Amino acid sequence: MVKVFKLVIAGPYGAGKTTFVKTLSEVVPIETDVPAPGKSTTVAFDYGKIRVNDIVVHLFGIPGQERFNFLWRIIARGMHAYIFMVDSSSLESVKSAIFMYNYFTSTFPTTPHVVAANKQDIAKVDINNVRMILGVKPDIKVVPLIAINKKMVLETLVVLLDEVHRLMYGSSFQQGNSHGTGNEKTLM
Amino acid sequence: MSESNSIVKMINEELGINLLGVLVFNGNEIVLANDVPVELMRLAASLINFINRVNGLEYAKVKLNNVLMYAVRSGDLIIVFLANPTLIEGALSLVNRYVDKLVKMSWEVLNKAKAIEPAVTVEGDELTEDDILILLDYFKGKLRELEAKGE
Repeated sequence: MVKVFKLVIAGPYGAGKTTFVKTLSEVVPIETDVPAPGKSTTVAFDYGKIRVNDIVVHLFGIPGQERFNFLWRIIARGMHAYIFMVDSSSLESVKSAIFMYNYFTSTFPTTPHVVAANKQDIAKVDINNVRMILGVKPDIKVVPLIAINKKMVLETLVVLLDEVHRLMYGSSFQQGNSHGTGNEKTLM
Repeated sequence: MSESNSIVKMINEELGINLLGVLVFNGNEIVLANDVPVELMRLAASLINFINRVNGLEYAKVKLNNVLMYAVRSGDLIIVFLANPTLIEGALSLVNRYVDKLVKMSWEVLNKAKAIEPAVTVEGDELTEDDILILLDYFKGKLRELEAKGE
């Protein structure tokens, strides 16, 4: 039986969510971007997927603008985890993420997530300041990211999956867990 | 730049006033918003909570924390104009002429959301610890492949 792992890529306008989905997806992603002054913006959602054995990872990039916040909950319904992306190339961009980050952490308080400080190649705000500005709790990881760099995108995903594992099963894969058998705990 | 930004700009230019922003709510959810500060959104959300609890309340005007909030109900939607409290009464009443346009824009957004909702309601299945470890193994393997290629 094919199972669905639902991963949401959240973050404000211009954070790089569409790029992240494009970099990771193994199928041509569905994009719903339209031109905006100086760049494009997602008006509905981005979608991509990756098949891993009998598990299909569905990637949903959600629209960042606050006027679409009624869509956030629709798209996030039934997600296993989310990556919250911020554009760390300016202080203003990081601050613009506060509303959405508060929304996600208060609406989905138990859903595993990591914060990805994107555009590290041109970063003006380091990950410690990203943490401070967003008020990220100490047990939540903030990782550096360049969304066009596949290695960094995969590293972010691995950190997130490790967090999912740690939160659901109380230990970190990186700390030496091997595949168990007969696990009865389930995620969801 | 959102549509509401441009309409705020248009209202300000046409009326010669200085609105701080416009928000449109459907129930307690924001449909359209200017890039107003979070604090103002919270204030507006409090006002909306109040209006939603009072049957038959068609409009409300509240001064709070140096912001004037003027809310107008139109069917299921409530439009909130945020302004400086020094804005004169006559100027405030003129913004009513923009309510229909904002309502039309809001329903366009809501209908678009309704149209795509079936496509995004994929929900995750119950996963076991083994499933998570399989995913971790797979993506770590992909990382090793990239490293081996020197990328």
